[in-house]
Amino acid sequence: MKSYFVSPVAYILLFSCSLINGASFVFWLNYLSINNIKEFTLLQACMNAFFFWFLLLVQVPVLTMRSFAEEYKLGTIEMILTAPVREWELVLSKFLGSVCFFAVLWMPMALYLAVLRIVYGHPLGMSVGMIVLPFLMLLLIGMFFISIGLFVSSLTKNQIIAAILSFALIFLIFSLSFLIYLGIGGQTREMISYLSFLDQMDTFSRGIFDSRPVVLLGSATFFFLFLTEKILEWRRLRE
Amino acid sequence: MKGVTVSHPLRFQLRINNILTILLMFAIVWIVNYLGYKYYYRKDFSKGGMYTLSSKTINVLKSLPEPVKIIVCLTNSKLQSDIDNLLKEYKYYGGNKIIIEHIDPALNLERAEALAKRLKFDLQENVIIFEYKNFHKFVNDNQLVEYDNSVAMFGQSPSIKAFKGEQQFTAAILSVVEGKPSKVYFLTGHGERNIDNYNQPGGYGIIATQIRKENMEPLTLNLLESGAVPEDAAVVVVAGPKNPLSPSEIQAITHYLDSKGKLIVLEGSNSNSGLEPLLSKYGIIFQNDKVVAIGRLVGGLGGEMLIDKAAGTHFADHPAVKPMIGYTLQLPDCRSIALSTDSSNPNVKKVTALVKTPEGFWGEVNWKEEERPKYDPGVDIPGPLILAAVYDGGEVPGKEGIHVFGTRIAAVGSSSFLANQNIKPDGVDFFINLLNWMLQKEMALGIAPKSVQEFGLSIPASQRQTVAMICLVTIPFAFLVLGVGMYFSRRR
Repeated sequence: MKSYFVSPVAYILLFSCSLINGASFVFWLNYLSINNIKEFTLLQACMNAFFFWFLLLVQVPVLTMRSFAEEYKLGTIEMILTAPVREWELVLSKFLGSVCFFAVLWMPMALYLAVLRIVYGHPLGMSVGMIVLPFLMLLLIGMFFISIGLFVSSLTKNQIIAAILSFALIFLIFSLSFLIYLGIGGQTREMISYLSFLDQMDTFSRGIFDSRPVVLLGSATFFFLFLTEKILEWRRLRE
Repeated sequence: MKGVTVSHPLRFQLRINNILTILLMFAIVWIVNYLGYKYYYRKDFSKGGMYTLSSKTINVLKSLPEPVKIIVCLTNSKLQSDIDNLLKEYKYYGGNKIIIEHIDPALNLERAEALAKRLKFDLQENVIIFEYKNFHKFVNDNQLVEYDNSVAMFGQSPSIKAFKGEQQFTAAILSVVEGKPSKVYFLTGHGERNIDNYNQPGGYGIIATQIRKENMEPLTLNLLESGAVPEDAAVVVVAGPKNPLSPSEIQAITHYLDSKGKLIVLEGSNSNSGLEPLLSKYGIIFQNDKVVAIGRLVGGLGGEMLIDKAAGTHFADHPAVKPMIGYTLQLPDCRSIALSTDSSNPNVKKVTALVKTPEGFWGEVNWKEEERPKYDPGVDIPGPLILAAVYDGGEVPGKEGIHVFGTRIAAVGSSSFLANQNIKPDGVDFFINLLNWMLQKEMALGIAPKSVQEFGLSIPASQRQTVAMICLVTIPFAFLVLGVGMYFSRRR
């Protein structure tokens, strides 16, 4: 966790993300106010927009690319693994550090809403569920993507390759959401709908809680963290 | 850990062990997801419980005897997300008894065309089809919302006031699960409109198809042959008879109405059913006129023309016509209706004028004689005119003390608005709503429409500018300054 906040790269990431996030927020705030649109909430608009997904897909690979790749490159991984630390403890600490930083990256969004709600007293028309659930979904998706990023980072000692590979894998999984627009029907459609982040975010941002994405993203996160731990074990055995 | 020396065979075993553990973990994750998908929990935290189903619907879904298939065939519906999310709630409570299939004509034309051919509907429509065994019920997306037309006078398009998705979907499920479709008998033998006639302009083939989509069965009825209205008749429709009914037929209909029958009489200016004295006992009087108006020619010609198509623009606050508010119902070849003022008749209070014209229309009494009809004060009937009226006998005690709906009569001053050559969506909606009201289909459920969620933002420009400053300058540059500070502190 501390390593994130002493790195200038982290601040560049914070700066870029808050700028893009802020631009998206300001755009939707103006768009909904000027056009008097009442059909969806400000949060719904922000969290289903192109920039939201773009940011989510891009920031995680950048966030996780250094995790293990840099340790391999600098040779510090041996030092860590010889310390009284188990592989899973190492994986978990890297994961929690990344998740905390991820939460900080998205904190401004909540702050902007708080400014409108608390400082200016605008009711915004949302129920508590409609505010909390999209953030919960964001956190779940972020955790899943981070676990993929950590897994990929554990495979290579080149940060750039780690970033590209994890982006490719995350993008591939995310792209499954679009298969629904190919007119696929029956069980396949249900399966795709189950895996669709777009669909899940839409449902949660409407204020509907569904346990299925929680199970899916929770178990998938666990699986990739487990794989990461196995990769570390594998490398240890190799050496 | 790192220092442990591992022999090669043991290392190989450990790797095999690793692979097997990964496979086992994958299997566990797969099983967890399978179970998580099958047994899940949903809860609606939206504003006003937009997607929360009523206990009535939940009971219907939990007691479904066999699976109901719901085919969503939407081309360009604004309500797609609302429909999808509502159907997910149906699936949640219905489980395996609800099968949802999405067919998008734009993406899967072949399947959509096959379905349209099998169930006979137009692919341009946005429909949700409920299928149970051989029974079908179509719900159009415009049946799912109630519009607020109060803004129409300011030139804005009407906004959605309420979402009736649950009401319509549950009614549709009940309708198909009931099995036997309600039988709608169309009287024949007096030159009435023919429900088997799809090709002739005056036929009723198209409306008969629409009635089938509502899981109702249109049938013909010749009272001279049957002698009485069949016991399974849900509604009897008398559509534009040219000759009056015989006394024995009128007697049969009288008996039917006395025993809580449901009757729709569609009688244009050229019709004469002979039922007029019977209807007047129920407070409805067909007048011998033709509804006309004078309209100005558009396009700067400055001339005037006779409008012989009555325009119903004023609708009563009645379940049969509530969804029509804001629309115009066009009734060609129309006669007007008057409500009885006889205070000694107890039925008079139970009659409602459903549809009225604007003031510009009048009832031309001498329309057969006058070549260029004009309004003759004292002779013709001044507007606004009533074009449709209903008699509602109210609830009466039935078997085992259960209250049932009593006699219901609807009288409309035109039959040709449903003819193949004139039929329009507004006319179809009006007639189907009338039938549904007669059969108490949706209304009997008592599921209230949900008020549409509105999230309007009224944030002054100055506040928006401040928020923009925070979003685009303060926070991003705070991070930048922190980053620069961190960089220099690390260099030192």
